[in-house]
Amino acid sequence: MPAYIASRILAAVPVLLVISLLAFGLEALTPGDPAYLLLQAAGRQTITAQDLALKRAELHLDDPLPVRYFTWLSGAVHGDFGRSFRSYTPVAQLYADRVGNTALLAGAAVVIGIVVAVPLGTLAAYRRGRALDRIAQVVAVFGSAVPGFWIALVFIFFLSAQWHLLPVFGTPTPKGIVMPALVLSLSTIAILTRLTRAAVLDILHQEFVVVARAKGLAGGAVARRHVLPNALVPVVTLLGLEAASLMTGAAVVEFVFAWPGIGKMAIDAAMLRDTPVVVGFAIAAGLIYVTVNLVVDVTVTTLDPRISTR
Amino acid sequence: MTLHGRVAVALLVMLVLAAIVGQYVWTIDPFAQDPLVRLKDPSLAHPFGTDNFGRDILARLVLGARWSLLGAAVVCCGTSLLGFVIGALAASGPRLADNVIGRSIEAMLAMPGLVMALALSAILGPSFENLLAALVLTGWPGYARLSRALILKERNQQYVDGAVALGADGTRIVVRHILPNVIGPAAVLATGDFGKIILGLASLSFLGLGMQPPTPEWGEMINEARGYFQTHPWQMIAPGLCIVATVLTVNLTGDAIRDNLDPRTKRRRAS
Repeated sequence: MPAYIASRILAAVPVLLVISLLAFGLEALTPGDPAYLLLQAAGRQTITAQDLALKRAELHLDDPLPVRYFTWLSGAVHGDFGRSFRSYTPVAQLYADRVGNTALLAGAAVVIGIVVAVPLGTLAAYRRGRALDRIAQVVAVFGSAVPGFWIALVFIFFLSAQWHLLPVFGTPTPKGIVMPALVLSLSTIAILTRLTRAAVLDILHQEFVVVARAKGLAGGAVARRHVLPNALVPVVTLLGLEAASLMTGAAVVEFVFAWPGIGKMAIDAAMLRDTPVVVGFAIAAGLIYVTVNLVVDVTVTTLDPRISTR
Repeated sequence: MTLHGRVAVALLVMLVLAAIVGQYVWTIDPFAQDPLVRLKDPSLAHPFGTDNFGRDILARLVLGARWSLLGAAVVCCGTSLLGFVIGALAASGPRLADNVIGRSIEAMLAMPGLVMALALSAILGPSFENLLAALVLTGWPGYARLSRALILKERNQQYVDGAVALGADGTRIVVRHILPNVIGPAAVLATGDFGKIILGLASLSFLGLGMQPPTPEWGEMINEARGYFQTHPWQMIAPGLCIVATVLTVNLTGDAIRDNLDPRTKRRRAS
């Protein structure tokens, strides 16, 4: 098991390297002189050629690109991702201040997704072809076809503007989180329902389930002890892979509800062409993805010990 | 093909037709402003109402369909072509290149593609062309992996040996002999992605990173409607329903095509 975890961590290294290359590439691609923009952001009224040269030297902008990449990488490893072109705040600090709100929103959405989709998908598999199964399929088909930003506006129109049940703006309060989390969970519910249904159907036909039934185990016990633990493996794996689209979804949902998270900040920065902050979002999303999948890999091996020996 | 599949294909054909000939049937100018009929609810003259500038929403939706479908088609072709070229380079190049490209593909697949597209289109500057470029540049890894795997498999077939014996060079073998065998599975992957691309295009346009006003695109229309939708919901409900209907028919058509081409799913359905 420790060897397996170590191998998973090693496998994450090339992913992180590619992320760093892409992030650095995006920053280097951006038109405009970062030195000038940063001096401007720091509040300088007049910028002399000497100031500019000093700043360029400080940022290593005159080094050859490969050297700049390694300087940048060593800064990044030490938590230095540069400063915002607008507010001059360190990017790392901007993200550290807001990542908790995004984690809260995404966590709430995942919990809603699991609570709705796993029972729905399981019941659909058990009641295959009946009304509940039809409902589950409609949920799955529609859930993946509805754009999150649009359903967010529809929710705001009905729940806030028409019926005055919930606030328009998303805030990390019990009332303020309901709509953003619900909207964000929709696509997760759709995919998870479909997958849970398929996984449970698959396992219901396995021999060990037939044996468990043949030896007289009650239906509920078979479901709890044999079907669900096995069906959870693909479900948990999918949740890890969903972390990526959840980050994009969160950005859009945060933007619509003005939720104070990293996604909204990144989109606002995109409008202002504040590259270090935008690139920071790609890095944050990549890091979160790698971390979540590491956790998922470990969780899956505890659910199914066979995987670590494969 | 199942009844569902046939209905989906028929609906998709109708959608495409509407996008092509729609503006000759519904001849109101989508850019014509009329301050007297601002923010009107649906009526006979304007079946989907009018927007903040008094422009006819139906006419704008019809023009927007073009951008959504055309844009998604361009991205689909672009990603699969780029993916095929990179996959072919990996599979037919030296071992080191294969390793580097293979690792990069795996890493790129692990990156949230739309986040990268968002960052890239923000840096390139907001325009529809840049958004398409950003989606192509971030969407290829899945196709590259598929092409690489298929080419590695096809390379050992006898017909390739035959072509080599006849003196064909590498490019000719890849384009004339291997490509036709890779197109089928790549097309299946592409039909599955088409709906996602439409959603991605609309989302980024909604965020202001895609089509710029006054050109109508469904996501852009919803973005423009954001200021008025609490009192005039038609502005955003109509383009949203268009997106949902399009993605739904595209996804169902994709499922039908996949079921038809992949004998495994057909058997599973039957059992």
